[in-house]
Amino acid sequence: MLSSELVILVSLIYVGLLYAIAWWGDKRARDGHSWVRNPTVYTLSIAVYCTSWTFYGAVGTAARNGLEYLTIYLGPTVIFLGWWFLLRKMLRISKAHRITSIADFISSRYGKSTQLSVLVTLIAVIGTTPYIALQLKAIATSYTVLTGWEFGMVEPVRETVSIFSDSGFWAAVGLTLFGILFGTRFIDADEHHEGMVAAIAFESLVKLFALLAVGFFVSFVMYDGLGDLFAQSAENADTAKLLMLPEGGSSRWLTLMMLSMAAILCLPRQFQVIIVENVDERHLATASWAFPLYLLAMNLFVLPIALAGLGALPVWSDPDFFVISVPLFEDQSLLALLAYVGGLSASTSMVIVATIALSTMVCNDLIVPALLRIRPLRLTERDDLTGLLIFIRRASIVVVVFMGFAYYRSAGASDALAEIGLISFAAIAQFIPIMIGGLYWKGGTRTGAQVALTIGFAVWGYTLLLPSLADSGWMDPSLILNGAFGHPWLRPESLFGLTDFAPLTHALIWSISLNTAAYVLISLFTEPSALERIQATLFVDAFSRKGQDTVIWRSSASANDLYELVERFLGRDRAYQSFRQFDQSIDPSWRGKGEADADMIAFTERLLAGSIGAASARVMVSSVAKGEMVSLDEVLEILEETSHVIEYSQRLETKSRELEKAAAELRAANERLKELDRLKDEFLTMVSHEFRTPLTSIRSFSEILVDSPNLDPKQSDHFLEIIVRESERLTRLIDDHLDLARLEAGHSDWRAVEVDPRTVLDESIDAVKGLFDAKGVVLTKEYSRNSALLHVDRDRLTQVFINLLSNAAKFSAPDHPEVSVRGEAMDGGYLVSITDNGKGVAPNELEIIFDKFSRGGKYADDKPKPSGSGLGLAIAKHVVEHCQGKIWAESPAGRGATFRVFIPGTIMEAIKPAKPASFGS
Amino acid sequence: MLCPGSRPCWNAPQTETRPAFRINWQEAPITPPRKLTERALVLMLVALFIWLPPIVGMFSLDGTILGLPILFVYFFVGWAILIVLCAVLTRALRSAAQIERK
Repeated sequence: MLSSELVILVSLIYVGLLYAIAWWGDKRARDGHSWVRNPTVYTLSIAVYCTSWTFYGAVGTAARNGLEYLTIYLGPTVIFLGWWFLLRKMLRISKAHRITSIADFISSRYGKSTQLSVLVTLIAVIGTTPYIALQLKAIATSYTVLTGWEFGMVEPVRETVSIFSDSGFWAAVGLTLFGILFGTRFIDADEHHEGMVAAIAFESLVKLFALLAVGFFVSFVMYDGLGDLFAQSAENADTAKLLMLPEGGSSRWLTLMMLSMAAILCLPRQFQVIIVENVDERHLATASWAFPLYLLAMNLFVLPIALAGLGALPVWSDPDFFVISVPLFEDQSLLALLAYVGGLSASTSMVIVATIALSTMVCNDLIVPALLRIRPLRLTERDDLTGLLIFIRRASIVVVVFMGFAYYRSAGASDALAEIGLISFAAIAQFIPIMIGGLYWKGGTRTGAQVALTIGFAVWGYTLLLPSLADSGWMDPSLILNGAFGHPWLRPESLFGLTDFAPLTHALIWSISLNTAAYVLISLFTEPSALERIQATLFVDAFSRKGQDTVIWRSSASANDLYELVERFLGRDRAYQSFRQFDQSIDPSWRGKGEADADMIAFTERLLAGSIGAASARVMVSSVAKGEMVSLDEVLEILEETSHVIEYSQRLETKSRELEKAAAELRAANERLKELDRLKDEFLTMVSHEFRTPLTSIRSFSEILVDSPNLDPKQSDHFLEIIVRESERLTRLIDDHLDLARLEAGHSDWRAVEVDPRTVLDESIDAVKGLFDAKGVVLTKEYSRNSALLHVDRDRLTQVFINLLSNAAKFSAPDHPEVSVRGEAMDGGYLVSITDNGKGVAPNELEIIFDKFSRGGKYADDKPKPSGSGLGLAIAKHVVEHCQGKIWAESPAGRGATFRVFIPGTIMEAIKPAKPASFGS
Repeated sequence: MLCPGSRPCWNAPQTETRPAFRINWQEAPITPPRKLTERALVLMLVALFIWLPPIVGMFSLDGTILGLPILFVYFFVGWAILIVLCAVLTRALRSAAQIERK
């Protein structure tokens, strides 16, 4: 049995401990070696998600609907597993713009709109009220259960008890004090509350420990392990059905999953701990798996506790408080007390963070913009506003907590804990379309967002809040039963005749779909303002733009004015510190001098945004930079012009690159032409020279014949012979030349046929036999077994071989001339090698010899041998290349020269071995 | 450093003695290999897929595994596996970002 004095004493000691931790956390942070800035504390602070709804309510849900309670934790797990895509982007944006709350976030995205931030704040406050009421109810009820168990009391009797003896009232007072002390100690530029974070991280440990302790007790002391517990539950038909999903529960399951995914993103307190209190992006990476792990541990024993409670406890006991009543029933009052402290920490952490987050929103997004608009207050001219800001925040904390208290005192809190929480979640979920849309779609406009939010919230109020109020007797239930104006289509719980769903699912279907439809449609049909377009780009392209600032102010304010403005909102010290950080080179004498540049104005706006919200900061800065700021349309025009200029210059660059390339090509072509011209001249010189030699001898011998009629007939015959031979040579030269010209121009006729190269070679050898015999050349020939079928002009190929053979004979060693011919099929073609044993070709001439008129013989002791036309190899090269073949010369020093011809063709396998034939003379 | 002239110059780099948020655009995790981020996306989609109807309903069976109800085991074992996968993937994402920074 626990006396109420003992429970109150323990509660006070626990809250005192919290104060101490928070105070210590703040002190450490001020001294500069913060203990709070690490991933573990960050993860534990996110666990503020697990409120008394989890601690008590999850067991209640498990006792009613089985494993359905898991949906509330699986949704956030999914979001954290995908942290890289959504949470990281939100974090990056928030840090770049010094976002201080969810209202700030949404209004910043839609052009720093004041109306939108007011709307979001209102929805958040109204939506959170039932949630705070839930926590107060949990504290009060758990206290009652703990102290009144023996008298069968399960719920505080609110109707008969005065406010001051209601434990919920004292809880509200204590939480308000905590919020005021640690949430609003000073107005900070970055809204970090180290003390508060330290306290809620500690509370997360306590609640986890308490729930695990009760779970262990239930599983291993009351029963012989989980297996035993489940086995006993399976025997009872009522508890056995909790081990499976309820029939037809798909739509509710889906609804709860979606709601919990929305909640982890949009709940003001989650936004506060995940985004605003974050100091390092890497902490989020750790939390991505550590937070789901915490949720898993928290939920492991929920179902076992519920089953044990259902199995052991009397039917009148409230399943929502099994965590306390089961240990009490087993006479473990110490364990029950521990469970009570765990529940207390779950409730207090939620209320503390929620009120701090909401008070920031109420102050920055509701009160300050309103006050700034009331001109008679002359707020923009007051000296020090920090006191006013702190007062507003403290007042908002009181208001928020006591709104929750009022809801709790009214009959509205009579539902099960989970049902109250779900009403809150559904309200907050209205932010999802405009938030996700705002993060990934640049087309969303402020008007669209405003209308969407209004419609979604109105539908939520009509379909979910009204029935809840009617249930508690605050209003006439006939509206719920018959619909507005008595029209059945307007019945809140089956709007427009949709009757197939439970109230929660029904409300979400209508509110979210109308919300989204309004957002998309109106966005498509409205024009965003300039600022909206800028902000949309900054949000959607948060990663690609590297967080650059929008500098949208012309330097029109004096630096002094800006400094004084910041001083009024942040206080003297903080303003000085911030400006010092902004510019290390600051010199006290700068004050009162000079204009501020655009960077400084943007900096001031960001600084103020951190303490009074983006929308108010804009108003304040423009009050200093009066009338002289650049209009946003102008900025956009400038931006667009700049982008045009950039585009033009890029195009110009491309053009000039193209031109350079063309010029280079032209230069190259010119070089080639010059070279060709030179070659042509050379060629003409050479041709003339070649023609002149025979012509000269013809002419001189003819002259001799003409001048000396009495010449010896024998001698004149000899001269005539020379004339004829030289004429023949001239004719051959001209023939070869014409032939080559035709080949080069591609005019010659090609009569391609399938031939065996060996036949062609044999023919060629026969043709030069006379020449070889005359010179006494020894010829060896050797063919491989296989041959190839070539598709070539037979006569031309014969011409090539004859050319090469006669060259070989011509250049072979004079004393014992030898020439060898090899033919082999290889690599998809046929290779013919003709080798002589002469001096060979000089290495630097191996390629030149295939040019026109370049006879070999550049070895020092060579004499010019004008017997050939000098065109033979050039013609051969043309012919071979026309057949897609290759011709080249090899000449190892002093070992003769080898000319090789390779022509592609089809390999023929030999049927019988070809006899290696030798041929000689 | 003092600026020349009577005007204060505010263009000096912003250095903070006590950083409000340790984020430096050059230092912050930059795009790791696409494959890793795609894996992260798939992990999230898998979680969503296995925890939504109708897949959830498929495991609502009568029977036990090691004495525990099948559905209970399905949720908690699956949850634990996803957490381990996420921890491994997050480590890879972070080290990839760090390597790229070097």
